[in-house]
Amino acid sequence: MNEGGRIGRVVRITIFYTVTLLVWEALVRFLQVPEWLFPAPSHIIDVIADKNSVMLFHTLVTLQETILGFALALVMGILFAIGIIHFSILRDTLYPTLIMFNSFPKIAIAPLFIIWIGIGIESKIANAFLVALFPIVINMIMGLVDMDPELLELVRAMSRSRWVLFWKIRLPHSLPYLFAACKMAVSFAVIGAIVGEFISGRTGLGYLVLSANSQFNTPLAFTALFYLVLMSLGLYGVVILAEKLMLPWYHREPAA
Amino acid sequence: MPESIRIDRLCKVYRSRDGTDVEALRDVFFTVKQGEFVSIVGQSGCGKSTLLKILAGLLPRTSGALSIEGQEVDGPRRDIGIVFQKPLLLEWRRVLDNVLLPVEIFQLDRQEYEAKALRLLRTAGLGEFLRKYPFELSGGMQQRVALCRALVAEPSLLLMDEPFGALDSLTRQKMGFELLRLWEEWKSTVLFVTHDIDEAVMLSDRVLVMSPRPGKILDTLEIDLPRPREIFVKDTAEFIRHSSRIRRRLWEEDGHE
Ligand SMILES: Nc1ncnc2c1ncn2[C@@H]1O[C@H](COP(=O)(O)OP(=O)(O)O)[C@@H](O)[C@H]1O
Ligand SMILES: [Mg+2]
Repeated sequence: MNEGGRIGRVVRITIFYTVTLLVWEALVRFLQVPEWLFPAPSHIIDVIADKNSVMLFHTLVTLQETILGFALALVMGILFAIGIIHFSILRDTLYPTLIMFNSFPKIAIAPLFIIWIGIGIESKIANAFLVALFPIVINMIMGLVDMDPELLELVRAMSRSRWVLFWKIRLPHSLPYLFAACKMAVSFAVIGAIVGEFISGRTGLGYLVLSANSQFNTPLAFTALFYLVLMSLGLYGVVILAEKLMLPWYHREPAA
Repeated sequence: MPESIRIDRLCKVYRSRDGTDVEALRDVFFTVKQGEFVSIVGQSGCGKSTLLKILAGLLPRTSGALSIEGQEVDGPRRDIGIVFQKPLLLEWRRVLDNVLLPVEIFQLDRQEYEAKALRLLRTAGLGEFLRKYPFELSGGMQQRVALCRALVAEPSLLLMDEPFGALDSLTRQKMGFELLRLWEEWKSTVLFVTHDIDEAVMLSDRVLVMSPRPGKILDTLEIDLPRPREIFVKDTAEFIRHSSRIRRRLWEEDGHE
């Protein structure tokens, strides 16, 4: 995209959101919507400014749960995928189990984690891990095997070493697939952490939304959601940035 | 001159999953001398790729004997370079690192071969593209990188399976002459598979004409046109005589009289 086009886009986006907020503010005031039902943007901004440090504390809790769950899913997902493509015993046992689990609403297990590992941060990490794991394993397997069969032949004509094939071909080939999975998995991990907090949290943004709701403190709930949006966008941005840095060679065909 | 390839009554039958057999090659025999440029011409599906893959140790043969540089073919070896129709470059490697892939796989001395890779790339007109990624190159340039990669470890035999088949006809012609230039410099044996009769005559010392499936060698033509070859050779009576003979052989074999 050229420079002029980019500036034009930024202007359009800014105008869109400004107008949306203004219309929202006007409607709430004009229709005199009560604040517990749907607060005006100005009101939410007040709460954001007022509760800054409290919000930051809860955001950090949720962020920590999400990152730890995601990181664990990343490591385990990569190891599972590598194991599954190299060992037939894992291909016949672990792989079908994962596929079966994938079509199952994993979040339904969340209450059990409380019984198994308590109501602390661990059960939220476990939730985030569980939902983030599947896209990573499945995409990583694809990335390791889904390549031109003639490329494999070209390498096989030089060497039969699985080590060579893995390090020189399969692993680098899988990276774009891995990053595609990470974009999904990082959002999933946020959901996992939040649901964990809904169920048994004493801290975190999920807990905050729930407790604000029970007191009909809707402006506070909106504020928590605002921080949640910021956090999710930030995490997504980090993944995109890492992809840009690590895959300068990766070139999607431009969409028609 | 000593032999590079000796193939004796080679047969290949593919056994499909549903139990039906596909006979791809029947009683193929020929030899290729060291340093010779030999083309195999035949229509698609006649078993050319099968033959090349057996030579590269990628496919088992059903029967017959096969040796390269006097050794039985059994699995991967260092003295063969391969170029397929697709460049098959590694997208995550820059041009120079793509060319050095065989050097890494064979664990050769990187410094020594890097100099060699640079020389090859310059000869192929890619001196300014060493640090580019494959997606930044045109199809013809990618295929030239693939050719340099096939040559970098100094193979005694270069196997090429319709290497210019995906290129437009002008680029294709140019690539043919570039291949000849590299070949005259690096002097390896070349076995070149194509379905383009003019291309085969233009490049080769000898052309083998292959029948439709099951593939066997129908005819052998010595092409004694002077080297280095030039584009105008195409207009000579001798060139036309060779290419029309090949055309006729393939036509007759297809059931026409
Ligand atoms: N793996 C395979 N299994 C069964 N039949 C095959 C296989 N590969 C190729 N063939 C058949 O063998 C014949 C020769 O194929 P190929 O060597 O690719 O021909 P060419 O390269 O001359 O076009 C074709 O009829 C093709 O369908
Ligand atoms: Mg073929």
